[in-house]
Amino acid sequence: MKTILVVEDEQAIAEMLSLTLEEEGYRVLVAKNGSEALALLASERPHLVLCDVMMPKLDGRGLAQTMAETAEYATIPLVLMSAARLSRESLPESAAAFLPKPLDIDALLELIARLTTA
Amino acid sequence: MSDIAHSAQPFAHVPCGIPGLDTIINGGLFQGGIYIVMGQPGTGKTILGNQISFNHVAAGGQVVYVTLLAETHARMLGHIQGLSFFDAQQIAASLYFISAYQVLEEEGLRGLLGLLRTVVRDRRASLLVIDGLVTAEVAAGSPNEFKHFLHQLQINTDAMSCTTLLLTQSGVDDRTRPEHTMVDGLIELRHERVRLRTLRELEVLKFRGSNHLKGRHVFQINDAGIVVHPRIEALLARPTRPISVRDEQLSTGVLSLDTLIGGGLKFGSATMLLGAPGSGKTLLGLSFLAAGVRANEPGLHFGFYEPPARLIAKGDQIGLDTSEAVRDGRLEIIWQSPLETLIDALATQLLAAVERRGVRRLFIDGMSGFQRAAVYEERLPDFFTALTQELAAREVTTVFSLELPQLFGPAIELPFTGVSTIAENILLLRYSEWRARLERTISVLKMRDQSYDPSIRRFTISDAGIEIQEAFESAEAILTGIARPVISSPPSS
Repeated sequence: MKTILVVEDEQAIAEMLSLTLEEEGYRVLVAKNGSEALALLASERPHLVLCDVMMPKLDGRGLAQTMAETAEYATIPLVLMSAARLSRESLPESAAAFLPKPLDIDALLELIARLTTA
Repeated sequence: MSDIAHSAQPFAHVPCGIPGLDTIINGGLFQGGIYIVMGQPGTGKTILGNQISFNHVAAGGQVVYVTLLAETHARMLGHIQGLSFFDAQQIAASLYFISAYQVLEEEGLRGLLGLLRTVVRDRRASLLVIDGLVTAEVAAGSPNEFKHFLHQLQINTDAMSCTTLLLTQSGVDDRTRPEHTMVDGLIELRHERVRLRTLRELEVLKFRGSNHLKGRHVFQINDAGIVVHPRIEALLARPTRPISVRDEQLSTGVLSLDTLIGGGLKFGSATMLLGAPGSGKTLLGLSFLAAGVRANEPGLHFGFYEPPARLIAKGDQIGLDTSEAVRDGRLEIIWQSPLETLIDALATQLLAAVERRGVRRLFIDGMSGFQRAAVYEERLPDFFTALTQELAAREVTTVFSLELPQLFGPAIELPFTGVSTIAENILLLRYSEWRARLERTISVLKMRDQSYDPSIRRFTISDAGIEIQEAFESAEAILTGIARPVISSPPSS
């Protein structure tokens, strides 16, 4: 079973993503911000990190930077998501993909399936 | 970065397909949005929900209709199957009815949310209707739990690009309900009793992301389902196209009247024929239309009191060839019963008829027909201002008739306030007693931006037509209805 780490400060979205991904057969870990995600990464090795951009404490950009600079995490695909319309230039190069909110569930599942089998 | 996905169309419209409603909300609901439709029992919520659902599947969408009511689907569908939008073939194929009452009873809001998520996803629904939301509210342990449920529902359906319609009862404390702050739109259906009539009214209290038509709009439920009539003064507060100005005058069909008013009626103007019953308003209006027929300008008679056959006979009798004009389509006569009609529906019908035939001359025979349909009389000045502006923008020259209640008398009592601001030109038709004879008189009260003859004239109607006669040069007090000869003063010695 593949593991997805969902990093999302909005509880309702985190719950929706958890339920949806679990229904698709994934194991789901949830963190409320980048700091919590890093704490989880110390003990878990997810197949993909699905992360909101704007969060308290450590945000999505900060988490992306830390993951890129840490050899153990650098190979984990990171998908960023945000309600903000962000330009390609404003997103970290290390992120594998960006999805706008509201999320298109079918597109999200297709992307996760592709990135976790690559 | 390999993938940057962009939201397909975050603000795509989902039309309701209900005449008038999409106009009020500027094109439809927003895809993925969540909307509450509230109202007392019997106001039409379930019909609205079903009508939008059937229209949505007819346009290629997929709908899940969830009931939280004790009423069975068979009973609910039995009540709507006589309406024209109902299509039994869509049921179960694209329109899926499920009852979630038992799930809610046994598993609470969490179970309900799970069911909704699954069914929307499995059916790939683009529209979810939940009928009887009040049942879920009652089942919630606290207002916060209910809010949380709605928030979860919103996020889930948004993620599946599914628009959600929540049908619920309205109550006394609706304006302060917390869930109303959460949803994207709030539509209220009401019954309003005005004197002996009961009106159905719809009001969009909130609609995020769109400048909707505010205020109350009446609606009807007929064989086609719900038809909403946007309030004309809100809909046409600004004309739909620019008003063009042309230095052109149109004949009234009576040469001597054209001379009296300074050459004719200005292109695109609105003229009121104000007069007592039988004073010749209708014939003057028919004459104006007949002049248009001769000039190949499509005409429309929109009246309330005289049926077409009688009007045609009347026109023919004074040589206007009305029957021929109607037969060959240059003139249309639309007759409306003045009873139990809705003013906005009348205006919509009128404008549609104008548009359909490219009408250039319009005679509205009986503004009082609109007045009777208005229910709220205080609307009339704004209503007519909006209507006449729109008619001018559509290059229509309009003549209205407005009946004065008095046959004679020194005072003129107008049937409603603001009349003089509606029309650019006002002609007064009255009776006056003169030397033991009853004479018809005509005078100009107002002609905007053109000079006119202010004298009071005799006005005759015969088989030869309408004729404006000479001025009453030897009488005064004619407008009181009882003229008296002018007695010249003896020369001073």
